Amino acid sequence: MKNSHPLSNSGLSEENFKAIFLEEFSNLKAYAQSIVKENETSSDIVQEAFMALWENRKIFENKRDPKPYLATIIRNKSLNYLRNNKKYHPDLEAAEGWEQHLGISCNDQFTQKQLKAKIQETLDHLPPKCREIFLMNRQEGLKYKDIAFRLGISIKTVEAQMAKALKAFHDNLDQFILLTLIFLMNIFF
Amino acid sequence: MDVPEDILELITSYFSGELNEEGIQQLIDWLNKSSENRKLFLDYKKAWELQASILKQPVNPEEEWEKFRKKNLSTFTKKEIKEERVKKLMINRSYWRIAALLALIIISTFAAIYLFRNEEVEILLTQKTKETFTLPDGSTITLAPESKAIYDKTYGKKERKIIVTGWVYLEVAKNERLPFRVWAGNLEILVTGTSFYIHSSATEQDASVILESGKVKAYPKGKPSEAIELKPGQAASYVSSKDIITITSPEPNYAAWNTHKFQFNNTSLDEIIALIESVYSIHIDLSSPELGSCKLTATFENQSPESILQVIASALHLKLGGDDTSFILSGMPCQSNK
Repeated sequence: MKNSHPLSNSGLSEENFKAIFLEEFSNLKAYAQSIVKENETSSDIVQEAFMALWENRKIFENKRDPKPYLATIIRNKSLNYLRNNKKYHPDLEAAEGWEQHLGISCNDQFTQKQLKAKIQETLDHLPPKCREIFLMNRQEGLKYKDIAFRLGISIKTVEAQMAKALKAFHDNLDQFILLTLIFLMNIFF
Repeated sequence: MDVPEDILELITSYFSGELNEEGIQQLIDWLNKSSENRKLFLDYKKAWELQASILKQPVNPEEEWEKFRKKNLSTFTKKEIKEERVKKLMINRSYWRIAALLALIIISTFAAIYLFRNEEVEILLTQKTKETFTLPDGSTITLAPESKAIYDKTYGKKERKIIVTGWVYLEVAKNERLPFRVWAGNLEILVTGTSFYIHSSATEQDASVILESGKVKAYPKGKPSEAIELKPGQAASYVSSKDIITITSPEPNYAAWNTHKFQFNNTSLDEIIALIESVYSIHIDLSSPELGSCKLTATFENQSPESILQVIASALHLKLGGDDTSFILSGMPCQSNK
C-alpha cells in the first residue's frame, strides 16, 4: 500500500508541463528521429522523455528550461535503443555529429520560404514513380517492404528509387547544404 | 566527386531506418575509408534533414498528449482542485437510506481513470488514517490509509460508477434506476441488490469481491457477458493471467482494516504483523526473522494496536518495545511444534 502523495505542488506545474509538451513534441521527435531514424521509435522515445520529466517535475525549478533536460534524455535513450538493436557504432556517431545536430529550424522567414519552394520544386521534378515511393515512405510512414508489396515491386527497386530521390534533393539543395551550419541551430541551448 | 549508387542506397536506407546490422557495417567501412567519404555522407545527411524539415510526417501533438495522459493517468490527474472538494464531501454526511454495503480491499496501483473522459473528476485520497466520504447520491465510501477513489461529474446522473484503488468499504444507497458499478483493477462489479463485501489480491490488475448478503455480479472489466453472480459467503477473483473471473473462498480478516476485528487461527506472526501494520499504519519489527514463523490463535475486537501486540507478546513469551507508531517484538524463536 505504498502511494506517494501527489497533492503537493512545487516545481513544474501540470499546466506548464502540458504547454511544454504540446509545443516541443514535434521538434524533439525530429531530434530523436535524426538519431534512431525510425518514426514510431522516435515518438516512443519522446514520450518516455516526457514521462521522466513528469516524474521529476517536483524537483524541477520553475525557472529552469526543461528542453536541455529532455534533449539529454532523448539522446541517451536513442543511443540505448541503437545499442540494444545493434545499430550503434561510434564511427556513425562521429560522422553524423549527434551531439551538435539538434534538428533543423530557421528563424529567417525568407530563407525558410526559399527552402520550402526549392524542396517542392525538387519533388515536382522527380519521376512520378520515384515521387510516389518517396512520399509513401516519408509522409505516410510506410516501410520499404510495405511499399514494395503495395506497388508490386521489389524492395531493391524501392531502395533505388529512394536513393534517387535523396540524390535529387542533395543536388538541388546544394546552396542550402552550404548554409546548414546556420540552419542547424542548436534548438535546445 | 560522386557517391557510388550502391553506397547511396545504403545511405538512404540508413536515414529511413531500413538498414540492417550488416548494411550498417558496410556503410561504416565506406565511411572509414576517407575523410572525403565522411564529408559526402554529411552532405547527404544535411540534404536529408533539410527535406525532412519540410516533408516530415505531420506530428499531432494533441494526439501524442492524449497518449501520454492515458499512459500516466495514475499519477497525472486533476489534483489541485481536489483537496477542497474532498473536505466538503466529508462534512456533507448523508442521511440517505443505505441499502447496500460494499467493502473493497484492493491492492491495484493502476486505476484506469480513462473511463472518465470528462475532465471533471473527483478524487478522494487518504494518507495516514482511514476516512469516510459521502458521494453525491448519498452512498458512503470509507478508504483505508493510502487508498483512492475516483468518480466524475456524471456520477449519479445516468449511472453510478467509481474506480477504487487500495482498501475500500462502500455503503451503496439503493437506487434501482441507477446501477452502481465499481472498477477495481481489471475487475468490474455491478451492484444489483443489497449488501456485500469486496476484497482483492496483490497484483496490479487482480482484485476480488466477497459477498456478505444480497446480490452482486462480477466480471472482467467491460465484459458483463462473463458475469458471475455471487451467493452470500462466496468470493470471486479476477485472474489477470487468464483474464477470467473465478469463484474462491474469502480470505480471513478481509474486513479487519475497517472493523478492527481480527481472527487468527494458527496464523504465522509474519502474517499477523503484516495485517496489523497495514490496518493501523504502524511499523512492527521483529528482533529476529525466525520469530515470524511463530503461530498464534487468537481473536481481537476493537483493541488498540498496542494492546493487541501486548497480548501477542505474552502469548508467545516475547517482549514488546517501541512507541505509538513503531514497535518491536523481541525474544527467543518459538518451538517448531507450537
